[in-house]
Amino acid sequence: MVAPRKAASLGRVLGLAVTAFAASAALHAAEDFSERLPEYKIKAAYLYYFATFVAWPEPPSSPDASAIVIGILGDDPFGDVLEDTVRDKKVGDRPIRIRRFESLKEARQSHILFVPASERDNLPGILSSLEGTSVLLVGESPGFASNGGHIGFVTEAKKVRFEISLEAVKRSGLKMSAQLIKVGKVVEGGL
Amino acid sequence: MSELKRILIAEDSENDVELTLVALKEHRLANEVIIVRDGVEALDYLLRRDAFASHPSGNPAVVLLDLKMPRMDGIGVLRTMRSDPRLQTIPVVILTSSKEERDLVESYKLGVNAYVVKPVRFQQFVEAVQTLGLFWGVLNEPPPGSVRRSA
Amino acid sequence: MLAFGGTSVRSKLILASILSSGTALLVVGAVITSRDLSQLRQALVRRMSVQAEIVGTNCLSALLFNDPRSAEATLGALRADPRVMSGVLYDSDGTVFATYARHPSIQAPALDAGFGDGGEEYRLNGNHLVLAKQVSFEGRKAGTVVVASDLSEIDDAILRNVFIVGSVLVISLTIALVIASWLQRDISQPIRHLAETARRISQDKDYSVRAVGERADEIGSLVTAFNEMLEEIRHQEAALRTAHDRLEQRVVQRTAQLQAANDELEAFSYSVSHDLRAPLRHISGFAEILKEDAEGLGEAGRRYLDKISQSATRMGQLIDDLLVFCRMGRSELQSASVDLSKLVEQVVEEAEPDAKRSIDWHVGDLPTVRGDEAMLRVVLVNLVSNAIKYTGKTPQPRIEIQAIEDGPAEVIVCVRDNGVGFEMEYASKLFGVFQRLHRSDEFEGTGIGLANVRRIVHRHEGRTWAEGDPGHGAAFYFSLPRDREALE
Repeated sequence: MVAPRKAASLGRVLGLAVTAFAASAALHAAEDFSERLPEYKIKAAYLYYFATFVAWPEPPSSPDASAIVIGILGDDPFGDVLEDTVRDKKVGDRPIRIRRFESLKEARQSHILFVPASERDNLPGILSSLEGTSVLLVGESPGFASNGGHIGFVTEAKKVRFEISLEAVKRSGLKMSAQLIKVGKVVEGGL
Repeated sequence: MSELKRILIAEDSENDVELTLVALKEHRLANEVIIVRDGVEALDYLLRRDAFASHPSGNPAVVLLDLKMPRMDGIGVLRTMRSDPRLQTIPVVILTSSKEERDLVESYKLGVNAYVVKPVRFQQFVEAVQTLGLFWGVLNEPPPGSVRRSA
Repeated sequence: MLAFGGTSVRSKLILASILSSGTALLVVGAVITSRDLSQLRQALVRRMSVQAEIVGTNCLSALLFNDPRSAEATLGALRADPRVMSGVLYDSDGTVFATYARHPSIQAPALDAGFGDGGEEYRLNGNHLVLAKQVSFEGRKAGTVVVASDLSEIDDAILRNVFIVGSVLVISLTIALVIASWLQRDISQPIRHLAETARRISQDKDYSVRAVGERADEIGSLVTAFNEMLEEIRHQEAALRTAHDRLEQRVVQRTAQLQAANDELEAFSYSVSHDLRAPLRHISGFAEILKEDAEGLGEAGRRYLDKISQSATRMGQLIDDLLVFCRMGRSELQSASVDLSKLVEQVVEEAEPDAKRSIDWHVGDLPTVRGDEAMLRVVLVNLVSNAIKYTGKTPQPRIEIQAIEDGPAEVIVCVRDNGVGFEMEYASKLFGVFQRLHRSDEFEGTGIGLANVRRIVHRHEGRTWAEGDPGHGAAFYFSLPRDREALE
């Protein structure tokens, strides 16, 4: 499900309120950022690693010829971190691009799609929509991997771990390195 | 003392005998001279045997002995004389031509009293004989048992 | 090497054989062992490299995702290789990330800075081989795997090799010893036999003995040559002996002949001295008596008789001289040291009265010589009496007797007079028997004196010679060996 757009037509007050809210939210988010920054730095790194531990199909799968696309659906919790992380890095000889998507349809263009926690509620829809595609679905909501996602980040005692659903990976047709599987926690899952 | 004593001359050579007698006669020493011609005769005379058995007793005062004689030579006579107690003491003068050391040694070993080599030169020969005759026949005192010429 | 020279041929051969085979084996063993070792080490390194590679690769995700547990699980796989003592995974900062140790007591070493960076590196640490391999991710260092393996494998290999080489050595050498002992006989035995034969021959002096073992090789030719030499020696020895015997025979013969001749001469001179003198005496005697007793002989007759006597006398002298001459030749030389000075003094003293006139004597210092005193006296008597005789007509006779020293070995004596002398032309006759250079009515004498002198001096291994100047005198020289004892 696509995140509803906030209509600007409700009036300035609403807009101001929204802006204020957004600002505070942003501030909060910033605070959250400063708290959660190490976490997302790690996750960003992990995303990059995930990209390297998966065997991607040849370019024609995506209009963007050679770059590996890491997409973020919805609210971007990374800020600059993801860009910083993947800057000048490659997967094999393919560069990495970060894209932010609002719609699922466009999101299909990613190789890896990160589903932030904010999309929690839309999860089932997202998952069933992208099921069977060769997009690696990485989320951070609890039970992400058990419910059809490929890899779900799990934070335990300040350490970022992840769960992998082998079934989901197999269904997607993606080839995942055993090394990655080894490091992650395999869970049963799927729709 | 100066009486003439008997001289026995053993000499085989006639010539030598004649010359000796001439020499002795010159000094009147020839009176009592007995001549024998070889060693055997000499011993016969001294021992008064055979031909001389009837001879008067008494030893000669000296025996002038030639060495080279037939039958028995001078050395033989000398040896016999010196081993016979009766003749041991009789003075013996060897009068010979030989100057051989061998003869000298043998003669003195056997106890000869004098050894005279006959000089070849007559003059010297005469002197030698006369010296012998004067000494042994006149001057020297013979051992007891010699005959003295009585007047 | 000295010790080696003293052992027997047999030992030498065996020793040489053993030493060479032993050395060869040792060299081979050493080469093989060292090759083995290096190969082993290389294999070990390769293996460790592979292990590190595998481990490193498999630990990459663990490093990336900061999952030490996963890394430890992977490292744990190293347990499969009993030689691996420890495996340590370091992160990119060099901090220990995960470890594996075969025995809990084994410490994981801290990572030396830069160890393993840039790929792979290994080093020996005590008795461990430590290999570090960089774990790279996308071209950058993600971490380092350090695997430590003990070298007991290599040590065991060394021991094993040594043992094998040693056993092989012992066995081979034993076999070599047996073979060498057996084969050396072919060489050493004939040599020993030859040596023994030579020794025996040398000891017993029996040259009929022969060595056995003639065959085709060098030893065979040695034996053959040896035997041939012996044959040769025997021949020569036999020849020598024959010659020696013959010589001895000849010597005996000659000695007998000489003895016989000597005896004959002895007998001769003995009879001569007696038989020849008697008739002379008679001739002389009766001639004298005749002179005395014969009447009517006349002056001439008496003169003739005188001549008869004188001739007889002279003959007697000749005979005497001849006898002396003979005796001089025959009698033994009594060698002693003779003081010539004293001898000359005596001779001059005895001769002077007969001179019947005063002579100017010049007697120099004469040395001591080696010789027969009696014979040397004869020499001096002869020379001195000659000098006196031949200066008989000289108004102021002068006789010199000097020694002309000549050389360390001999002395030359000179008797010089200023008498009638002689012509040098006839000098060669001077020393001949009965040779005279003057008439007997001028100077009496038989001509035997100088012959005697020469004979005696020659028997002393000396020389005689003379110089003369008619009317001015003569000088007579003779040389004698110096008394060596007096010199020493």
